[in-house]
Amino acid sequence: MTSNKQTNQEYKQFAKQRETKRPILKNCIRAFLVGGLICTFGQLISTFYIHFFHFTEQNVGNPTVATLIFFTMLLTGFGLYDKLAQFAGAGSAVPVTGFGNAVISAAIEHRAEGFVLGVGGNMFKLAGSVILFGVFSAFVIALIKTLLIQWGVL
Amino acid sequence: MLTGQQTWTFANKPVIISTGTVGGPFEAEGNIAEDFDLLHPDLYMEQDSFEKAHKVLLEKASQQAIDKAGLTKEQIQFFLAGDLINQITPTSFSAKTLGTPYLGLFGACSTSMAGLALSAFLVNASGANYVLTGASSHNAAVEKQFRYPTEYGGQKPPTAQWTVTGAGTALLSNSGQGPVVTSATIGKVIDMGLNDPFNMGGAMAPAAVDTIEAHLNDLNLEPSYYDLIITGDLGKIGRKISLDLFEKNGTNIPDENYVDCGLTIYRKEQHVNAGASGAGCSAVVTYGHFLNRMKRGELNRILVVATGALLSPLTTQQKESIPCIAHAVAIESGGETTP
Amino acid sequence: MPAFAFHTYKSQVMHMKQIRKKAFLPALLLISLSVTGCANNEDGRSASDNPDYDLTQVSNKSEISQEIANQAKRTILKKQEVIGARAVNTSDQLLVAIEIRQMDRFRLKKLEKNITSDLEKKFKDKKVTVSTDKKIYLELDELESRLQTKDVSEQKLDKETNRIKKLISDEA
Repeated sequence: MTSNKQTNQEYKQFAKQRETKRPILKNCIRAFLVGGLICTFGQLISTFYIHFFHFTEQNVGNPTVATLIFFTMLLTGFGLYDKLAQFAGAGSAVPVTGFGNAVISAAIEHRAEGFVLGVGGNMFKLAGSVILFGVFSAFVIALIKTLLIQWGVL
Repeated sequence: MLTGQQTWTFANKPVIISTGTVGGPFEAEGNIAEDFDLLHPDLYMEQDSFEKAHKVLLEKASQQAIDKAGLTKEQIQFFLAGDLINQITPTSFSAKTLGTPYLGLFGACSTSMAGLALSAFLVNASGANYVLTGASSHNAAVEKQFRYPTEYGGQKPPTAQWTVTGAGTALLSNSGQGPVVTSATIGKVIDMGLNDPFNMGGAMAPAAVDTIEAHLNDLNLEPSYYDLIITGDLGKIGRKISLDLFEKNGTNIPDENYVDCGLTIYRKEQHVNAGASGAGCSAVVTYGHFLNRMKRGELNRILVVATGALLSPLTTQQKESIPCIAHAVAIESGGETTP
Repeated sequence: MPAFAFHTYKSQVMHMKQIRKKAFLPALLLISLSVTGCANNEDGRSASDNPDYDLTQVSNKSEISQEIANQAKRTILKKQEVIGARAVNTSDQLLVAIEIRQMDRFRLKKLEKNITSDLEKKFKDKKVTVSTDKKIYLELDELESRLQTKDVSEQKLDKETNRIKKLISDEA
């Protein structure tokens, strides 16, 4: 048994040496550029809403996010977002568009199983854990802050 | 007849009297588009879900093979096929349409050669006059099953492979014109502890090496006996690893006589990372491209080694390693053997 | 005179540099230029050409003297971090919007607080409200312009001021 484990380890090494590595630096640069471009676009939408509608810097975030997700929906539906993501990696995954894509792609994918059990049940298949852990970590942070304020640290 | 440890030799030379290959839009842009009988311009194939399209792929490929042989589906005695979807439903639905006695097979991407080996065995042992065998996969349906939604933007690493949309079938008979199946080696499950589902070539390479060496040992052959040794879907990485493993084991397989279906089907510009994969991959490339080359006389003896990664999304999430298998079938051109 | 002529030399040079750096950005930048360009001062408010000292002085011909507001703007602009200011005062209120230098925006909340307390000390009889929000800046700029060019009644000015104050506190 031990010798078996050892050959497995040896083979892992052997295979690892022959594997094509992820081009990390190239991916980082691409992610930086595309992520930045998405954010620039978001800023443009914000500025547009501030100038032409009654939104302040405080509350312009909501319509901006909605607009970005709308564009993501179109890109996902027309099958372009996954191609962008293959190029951009984290650059298209980290902004809110990545979250939108996770929800929308799952909804499209499971449309064939019906609206309730298909779309409804699977829409948050990928994004559900983001929501869960987002809410949970917000709760923990808020708890820490409340305690610190209670104790007079903050 | 059992020869050696795990190899069957077929004295009665079952003949592949016809084949059927169907592909999707991405395959139509590929390297061997002219070797397909039918190419669908639409990934949905006029169905309302990818799973239904998957079923249509195999149905059409079966129909092609039967029509080309000038038979009717009632004349087919057995249908041996499989795919990658849960409980191999697309194949079972196709078998319903076909109405033929049916054995469903699962060997992941090695299903095509598992089916061919068994069919040859049946025909050789006079268990049937006509046996239809095949394997299929549908890119979107399989991605949905094993990975993320089709349109989800997740960056795939360079070791990832692209699932072929296609179905390949072969019709075997005890007499007729065409290439003959001479021997088959059934592989063992080999698991070297790799657990990255985005690097299946690396996981499957040892299984391919094991089966090929077992085949050569059992039949006491040199690798040079075959014009080509064709692996199923090892991809760039798996092919390189297996070649290095052969070298390490002292098996002399020349680089130019060792090809991979996953590296044959698409053009370089199609950006499929490490190559193609899927149950349909080895089926369409072997039954389409390589058998056509055989018919043109470019090849006389080939050994097709379809490799399969027997994982499920569940085992991957539970951090299990990937068990792999490979089945080898030797096909020789029929000219000299059929009277 | 075209609006972009008031775009300062320095910011134009900066934009030019970026344009040269990335060939695919000019379209985006042009749009942003036309959107964010300060389209003021065609109405006779005196203004300085220094980009870091964007001061407007509203004449006192309207019903409510804007002298307090003008004074407040001059005071704030003495600060290094402040590069622009717009203000309007009513009989009991003083509403100020400021633009902070980009790198100093990291201390936005603190600066806003300091400026508020400074102004409160200086103008004890007014209720002071300071905002760093771009929207408030634009609204006050428009209100200033109207005060400069048209006669605005005291009632109207109170109404407008309250409307803008409401915008500041509107979070959702």
